[in-house]
Amino acid sequence: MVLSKANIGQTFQVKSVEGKENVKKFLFTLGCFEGEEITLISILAGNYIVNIKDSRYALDENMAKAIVMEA
Amino acid sequence: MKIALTGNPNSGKTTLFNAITGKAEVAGNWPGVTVEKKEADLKKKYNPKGINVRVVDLPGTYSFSPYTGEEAITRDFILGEEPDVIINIVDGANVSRSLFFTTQLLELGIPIIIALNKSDILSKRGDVVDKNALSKALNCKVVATTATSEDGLINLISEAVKLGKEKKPQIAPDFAGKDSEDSDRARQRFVDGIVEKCQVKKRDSSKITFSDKVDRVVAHKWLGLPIFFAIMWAVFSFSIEGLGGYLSGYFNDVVFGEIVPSVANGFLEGMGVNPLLQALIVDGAIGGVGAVVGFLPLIMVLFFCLSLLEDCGYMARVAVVMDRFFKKIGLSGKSIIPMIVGSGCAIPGVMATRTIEDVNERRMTTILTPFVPCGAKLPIIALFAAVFFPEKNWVGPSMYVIAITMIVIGGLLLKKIFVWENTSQFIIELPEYKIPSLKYAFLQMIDKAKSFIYKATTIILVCNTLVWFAQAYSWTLSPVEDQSLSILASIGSVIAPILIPLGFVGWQLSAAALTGFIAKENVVATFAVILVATSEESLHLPGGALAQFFTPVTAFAYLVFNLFTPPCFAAIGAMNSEMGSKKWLFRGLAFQFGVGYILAMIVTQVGTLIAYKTPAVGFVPAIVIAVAMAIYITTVIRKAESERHKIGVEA
Amino acid sequence: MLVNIIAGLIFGGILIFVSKKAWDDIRKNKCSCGSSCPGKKKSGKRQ
Repeated sequence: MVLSKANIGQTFQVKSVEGKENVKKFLFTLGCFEGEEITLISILAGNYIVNIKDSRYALDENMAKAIVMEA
Repeated sequence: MKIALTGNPNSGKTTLFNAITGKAEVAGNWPGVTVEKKEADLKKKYNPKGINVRVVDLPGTYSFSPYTGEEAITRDFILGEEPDVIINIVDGANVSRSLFFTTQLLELGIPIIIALNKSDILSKRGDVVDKNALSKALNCKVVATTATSEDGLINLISEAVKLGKEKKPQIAPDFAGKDSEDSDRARQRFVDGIVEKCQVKKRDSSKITFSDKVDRVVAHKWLGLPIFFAIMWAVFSFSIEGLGGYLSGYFNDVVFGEIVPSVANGFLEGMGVNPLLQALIVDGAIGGVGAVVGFLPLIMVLFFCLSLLEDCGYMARVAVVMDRFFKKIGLSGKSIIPMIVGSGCAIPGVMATRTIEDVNERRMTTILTPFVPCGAKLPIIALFAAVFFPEKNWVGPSMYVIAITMIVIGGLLLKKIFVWENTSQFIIELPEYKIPSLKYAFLQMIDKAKSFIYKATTIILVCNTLVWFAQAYSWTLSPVEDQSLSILASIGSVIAPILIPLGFVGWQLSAAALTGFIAKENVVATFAVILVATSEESLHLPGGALAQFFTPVTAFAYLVFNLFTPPCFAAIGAMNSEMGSKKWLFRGLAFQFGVGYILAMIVTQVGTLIAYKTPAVGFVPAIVIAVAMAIYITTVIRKAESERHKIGVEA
Repeated sequence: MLVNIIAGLIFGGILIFVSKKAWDDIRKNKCSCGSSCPGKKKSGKRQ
């Protein structure tokens, strides 16, 4: 399942991150990579607000689709 | 000794930099506010021994693998210039993320001291970080700091200076798998291990907080945009029509309208100075500068409000709200950041486009950012609003609404004209809301006020003196009785025909617009200098001296023309360096000129027809130009479409 | 007459002083809109 299909408030383990290498690397440095936990906080104006480690980020739909989670 | 400040975006580097150097750099709680390194000397308070210490503030980065341009600057700087000490600012609110970059820094061999910043947030959350354990695990000193209240900074700096004197190379901590193929992952595991040992967390960060609840309202799909407009409207009408406008009115009408000129005239007359010299000094220099400086209270009120707004964390949410709309024109929420910065001055705004990775998206943002009315354009807006629309307080703020509308329409046009594929993705950190600092807002306001005065007394003063000379003398360098025989009139007359389709008749209007390209405040100053010589009426009062040139409709159009044609020279210079290509610069400038020209034309011609039921001056040429433009744009778009079809890019 | 020369010289002096400042700023590609504006930047570094 991808992040964009997740339910609000749920915490998931990341299975893999797809997409371009530099975006993958960037998400990696934020702490978004396989095995890590990520929580979908809310969906606002088409953006996915997530919690990674101790911070909130807004991701657009394309990015949210690239994050694959353990079912 | 050179000390570099590094750390994640929004970890408080610039706040710390301002605190220890006494500067007033713009700090912001979204990434990309600092896009260039900034240097300054250490403040005396932190440098009791008076050693030569330079502090360098670097753009924030999450790691050494650069995602956007300004992160590459950080890496290039550290690797190239080798500072004596690096202060690594670790965001106390997100230690585990920060440490990834810290471990990379430690491997450079340069002595490092860690500032565990935002200790106040840490203790408020009830989290505890064991500094000694952290220090031991990383092999370097850790000092707890709170940059906003300057806690722990003296300790931090004295330790840093000590470290710089010792010149002992930094020894990096070793971890399993450091040299393996998957070293990044091993590094993350190593960091996780440290965090587990050193940090006790009381709070589950994945729980919904008050901040999240606020976000659900202000970044709401439908409410977000109206809230943003309402806030901006409140800020701008308070500054332009409210308190700022009231104070500026007093300054313009009384202080610089009556008191200063009469005192100066009285003084010079008493001394028996030649009338021509007296006119040069009072009407030219003082009059022109005064016409601009009178708007100082307005500028101060506006930037005080904007600083408060930025400081509380709202702007990152604006990027989220705007992302959806900007995606439609081929941009993303990232483009909003340069535009917000550009509301102060277009130059840092244009430079902030560097945070955008996609080259086409960056170029488009560079072209569109100067549409946002900057601080220098405010005096023009305020002057025209006061003279022609004294009872209508919507005119000032409406310029910003038009600006946003033009950015969207302009973006759509650019997307149609130029062939490229948008592949950019949008991600932005949402910092927790905080109560904005009045001190920071006050310092920002003073800083803006200072530079406003500086600009008025340098470039504006010089231009005014030249303008006065040009309007008082003919090409044969003899004084003229009739202004229309002057140098300025002959220069203005060359350009004047171009402006007739816009309903602007008179060399004075083209001359003022022309000086506006040097600095936008000059438009106001030039009118002040030209009109003081020919008219007894006050410039700033409703129905004043300007009324001879404009109807309210053409006044609005003139405002639009000055706001949306290309920015001042300095901003064009910044566009040039960000575009990195002359071809794109000229395309951008031509586009901006086209937008400003056509928009002003539409306002004049359509507005006059509606308001006065008669066609305005230049109606026929305006129609010809409109038709020609429409044909030109459709052919260009057709050409672009066929090209797009050929290479298989979707619009 | 002397007064004119003195006043002219003072004004001229101020004018030359600020022109020089303005010219320096332009040449250094520095805008005068606050310390938020950085100095001259190396162009064409990206691409």
